[in-house]
Amino acid sequence: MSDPADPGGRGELSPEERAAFKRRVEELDDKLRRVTASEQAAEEHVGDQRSAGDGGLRGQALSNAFRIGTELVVGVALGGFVGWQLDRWLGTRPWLLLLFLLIGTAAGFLNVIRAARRMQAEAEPLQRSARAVPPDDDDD
Amino acid sequence: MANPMHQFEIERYLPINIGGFDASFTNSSLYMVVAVVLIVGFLYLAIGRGAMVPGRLQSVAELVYEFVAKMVRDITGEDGMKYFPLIFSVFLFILILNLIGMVNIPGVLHTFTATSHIAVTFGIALMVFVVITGIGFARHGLRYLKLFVPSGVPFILLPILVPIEVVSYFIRPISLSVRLFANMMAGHTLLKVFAGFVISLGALGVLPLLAMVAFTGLEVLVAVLQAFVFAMLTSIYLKDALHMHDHH
Repeated sequence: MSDPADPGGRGELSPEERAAFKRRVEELDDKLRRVTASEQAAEEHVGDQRSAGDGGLRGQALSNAFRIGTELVVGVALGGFVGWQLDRWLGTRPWLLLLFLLIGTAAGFLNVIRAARRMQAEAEPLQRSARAVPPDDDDD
Repeated sequence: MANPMHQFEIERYLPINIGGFDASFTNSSLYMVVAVVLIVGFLYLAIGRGAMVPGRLQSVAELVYEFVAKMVRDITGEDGMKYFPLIFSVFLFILILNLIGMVNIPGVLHTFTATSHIAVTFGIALMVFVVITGIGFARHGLRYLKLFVPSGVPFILLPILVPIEVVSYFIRPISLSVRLFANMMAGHTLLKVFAGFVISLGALGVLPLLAMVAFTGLEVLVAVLQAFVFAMLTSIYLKDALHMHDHH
């Protein structure tokens, strides 16, 4: 806000008050540093636990594996099916089948890439202390 | 050898026909009712009293709650917790249906795995899909359609990218349901096939028997994991509906 010495502000600050204010700021700074440090330590601890390969991480990895596989298959299958049905309906064989097969495959890949990116983002907090590059968040 | 697909057959206990639709009460319906009764009964017993220091049952209920709540919070943020009941119910329902399917007392009780039918899993997935799309439109209005228009892309590419985005959106309920049903069905078929080997191989049957023990363990893991994956993906889709476009 305004300069503490500014007479047009909300009011005058006596030197004592200003000193108290400074002390308070320092106190809060200190506290913040301590909290951040302990949080970081906790995070690193979690990271260690996870990379030690406990059940949680393995479960996570398995669930990711289940996820990615179907995502791809279903994309291709659904695209093919929709194209096939539309072809039968409109009598445009085989063009819509080809088109939708392509779109479906692309959509499947898109979902897989998104999922992979998510997983990366999830793994990131564990390495936050080592991070040097800011996360890039809008490239699509 | 017993037919490994026999376990997936639907039996009509109480034929009901509503306007040409077969809405019979089947073994599948029965086990879904059993699952709901189990869940409600368990939660009622566990948290009915709501002791300050939780007993055994209450601890289990709290563990499950904390587990799902943490997942929802991690993925969707605090404002997704408004929809926590949806995700929690879906998770418990699928989990219990999957686990019931693992119960088998020879000669007494052969349970039916409702989640091994795509009609059931697709029903759940479609419900989730409709609800989440509704949340998206309720929250963002027509701007929700922007989900299909990737930002920062050259204009000429849009005719190609928009259909892909649309399809990738509509794939969601299908991949959700296919994943769950295929895993449950494949696992149970595998168990049955190996069980057949135990009989037909005679003395060598001890080998598939050992494999069965391992597979049964794996199946329990898959049953839990699939429920978790379903709930996790539901929360991810929910997050996309709540906070559009900051999801990648």
